[in-house]
Amino acid sequence: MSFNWFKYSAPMNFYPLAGKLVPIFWLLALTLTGFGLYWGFFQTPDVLSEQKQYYRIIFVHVAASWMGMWLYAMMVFWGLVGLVFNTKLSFMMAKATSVTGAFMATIALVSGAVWGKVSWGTWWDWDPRLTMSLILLFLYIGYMALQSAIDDPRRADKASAVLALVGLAIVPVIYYSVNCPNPNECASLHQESSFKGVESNILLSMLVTALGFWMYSFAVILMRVRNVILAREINTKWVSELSDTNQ
Amino acid sequence: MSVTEFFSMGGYGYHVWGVMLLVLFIMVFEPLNLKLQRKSLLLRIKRNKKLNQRNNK
Amino acid sequence: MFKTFLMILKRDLKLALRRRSEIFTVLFFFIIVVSLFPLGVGYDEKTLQRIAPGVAWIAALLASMLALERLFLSDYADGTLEQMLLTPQPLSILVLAKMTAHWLLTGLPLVLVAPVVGILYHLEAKTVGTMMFMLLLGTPILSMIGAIGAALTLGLRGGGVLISLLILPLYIPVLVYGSGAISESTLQSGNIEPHVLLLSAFLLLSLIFSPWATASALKISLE
Repeated sequence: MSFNWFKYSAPMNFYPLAGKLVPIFWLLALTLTGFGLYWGFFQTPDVLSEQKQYYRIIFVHVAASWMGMWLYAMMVFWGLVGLVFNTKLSFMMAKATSVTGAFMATIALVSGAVWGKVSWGTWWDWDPRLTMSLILLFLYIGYMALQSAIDDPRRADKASAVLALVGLAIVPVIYYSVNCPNPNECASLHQESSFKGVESNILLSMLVTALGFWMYSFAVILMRVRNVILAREINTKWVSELSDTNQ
Repeated sequence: MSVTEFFSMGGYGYHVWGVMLLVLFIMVFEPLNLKLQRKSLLLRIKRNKKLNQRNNK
Repeated sequence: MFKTFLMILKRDLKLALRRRSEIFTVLFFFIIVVSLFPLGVGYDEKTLQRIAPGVAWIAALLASMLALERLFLSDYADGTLEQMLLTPQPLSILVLAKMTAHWLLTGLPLVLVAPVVGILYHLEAKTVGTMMFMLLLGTPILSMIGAIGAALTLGLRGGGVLISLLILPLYIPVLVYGSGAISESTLQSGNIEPHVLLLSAFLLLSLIFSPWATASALKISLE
């Protein structure tokens, strides 16, 4: 049976599929995050390099900031697919991704600030990575503001897809300017990623938690996309029949 | 590791558990909010259906 | 193609010059914002000199943001924008002409007014010179990227605030390198060359992409 991709690009077919996938992703999310955090809290040494017990925040911080960035890229991808193929469903996916992405960016920001408070003593230190997650949050807020400002859904989708695309194009320039504001002495750009020499147990729990966050994001995004489908297809026949069977 | 030690987290209990609480709050709040949204949507669909049936009759 | 560019540019300039006061509103906004900071921060010369680059650039950002909303609004209201969409000429050229008109009306005056900032903030001539040069280089970027925001939020209620929410994060590189160069020039050993190169690279990047992005945003907004 050749898998016809476009069969599921119609909201009508995608809706039940998403319905079946949501519980699976939820199950995966809970087990993975649970295991990751359990492993992180119990199977790891009490100290990571010189930070003491509080380093456990890193599991959540790393997972959330990864998710924040990945979901922005996914949002732009779905927007692009929507612009190219003009499929309503991909715009709905982009809209559904933006909210969870914003939540993830907020978690990354708060956990980063708490980490800063403990290890550097101040709630906010204009460290390039923290500043970048703040800017990422601004981009999400801009996207959602544009989405809600435009009433006609079709124009809202396309306009925010273009905005997300422009945002993504400029993000590397912003990243460069935030990391290396003074090009004369630009040491901070080649910041070695802090994963070398990290004890394997910690790395494992970090990755597992990140995977758990991935599953959580899929689950929540699929749930929200179902709602968006219902909201937008409210006067179609299949939706009205749907309410009887109450899938 | 005794329970009290676990919660004190080397004196940084508030910080660590504060962040974990936030994550838990978001992971519970988001699906809950979506479920409520879904219920109201289904309600609206039912009302539309009734409305349409009454109009076509 | 270049003829239409000039035609649109002349038309826009003529339109704007009829209501001369509009140009001065942006200019005075810039001067007021710049002169507010010393009242807030204090008159000590050292701090003023240190914050001058950042203040000048943030005021320039906000000033260009102010004039963005009206960029397409008047044409959108009386329908000439639809005509522009229907012309055989590529829309990006027309949009580029409108961006240049916006820059000439808001960006360039800021460059000419920079010496006033120099006086208010006790800056030496060299720093003021760098500020004018960097403003000259940076303000076109503000107009071009801002035009994308203006096209996206065409005809929306609360458009002005919305544009700033959308576009200000995208201005960060201009702010960082613009003010970085000015503060760099105050040092003896200051070398502003990398800042200038990076900013002009960003200028070229936006010159190539923003007309196309604005054109597609306009097509979406006017569907």
